[in-house]
Amino acid sequence: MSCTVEEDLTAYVDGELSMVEAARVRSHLAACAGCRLTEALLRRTMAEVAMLPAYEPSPALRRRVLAEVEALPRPWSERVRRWLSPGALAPAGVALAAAAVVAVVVGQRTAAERRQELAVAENYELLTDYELVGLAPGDLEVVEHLDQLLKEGHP
Amino acid sequence: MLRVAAGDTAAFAALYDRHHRSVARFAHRFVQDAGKAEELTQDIFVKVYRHAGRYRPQARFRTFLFRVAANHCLNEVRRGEYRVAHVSDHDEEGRALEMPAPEAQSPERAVEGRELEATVAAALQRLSARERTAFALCRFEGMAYRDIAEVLSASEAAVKSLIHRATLSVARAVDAWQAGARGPARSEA
Repeated sequence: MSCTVEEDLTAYVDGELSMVEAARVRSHLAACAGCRLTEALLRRTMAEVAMLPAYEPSPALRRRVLAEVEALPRPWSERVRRWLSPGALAPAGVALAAAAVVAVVVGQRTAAERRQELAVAENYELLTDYELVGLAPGDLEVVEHLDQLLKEGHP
Repeated sequence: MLRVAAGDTAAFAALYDRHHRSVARFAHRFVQDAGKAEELTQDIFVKVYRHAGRYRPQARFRTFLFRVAANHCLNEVRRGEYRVAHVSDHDEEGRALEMPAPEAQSPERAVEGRELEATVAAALQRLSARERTAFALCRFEGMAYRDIAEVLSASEAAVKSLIHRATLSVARAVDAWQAGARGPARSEA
């Protein structure tokens, strides 16, 4: 077949030509018996091919595909999303809050102890002079100003 | 698809359920073998999952999916991983392939259907891999030439030519089979 529109016949039957191109093919078909035969053959074949039953994959394929995907390493975005999910975040939050409370309590006790130790160190001389033991924080203030208090008590 | 890109396997399962038949059908038309078609389908979906981040929402997902599918099938055939099988009506376990349930049609129609299937499959084997891809996407998946051009990274003019050559080739094979199989039957009637 040597018709110039032969290459366009399948696209014509498929409705893939522009209006201008389709009009040109229609006009040619009206005058060309050979192309009309080819067009009929193409239409018949397309209809028969469309009627062929489709291949149906097995249900086992789904299990295999999902198992392979599940076994792949998770992307970072998904890992972060899982870490930030409410299920993972709630226990972590409780643990974090508990740790914060412990830290504050321990920190406060340590600060108080350190203040007392500093006061003892600063007044070490006085403590040895007056042979005081088992001082409470209030006693240190008394010891620190003992000389002044004595002066005030005995002018 | 964006959820799949973020590693959401439930979203991936939904995507699989929606599209696996098309992909398996395409792969089966490509290699003409049920076992190999399922291997290819599995590879294609795992590839889609792994490369989901490359998907751009402005592209149609079906086009993206068949681009992955066509490239994978073409590459595997090119590498010699898969050879187009000889056409058979049965898989390795003897299960009938591609045929509708026997009760759905008369025995004569069932035989004729199997022969037509075998004729089309044999004609597809004689096509180039790109012609076969374009034919399968057009005839069995109903894709427009524009989308097939995108799948094959080709111009629409090239796709038009591929589809025409493939369809005409299959049409002539079917015509020859009909002339041989139906002709004598008609004359006997």
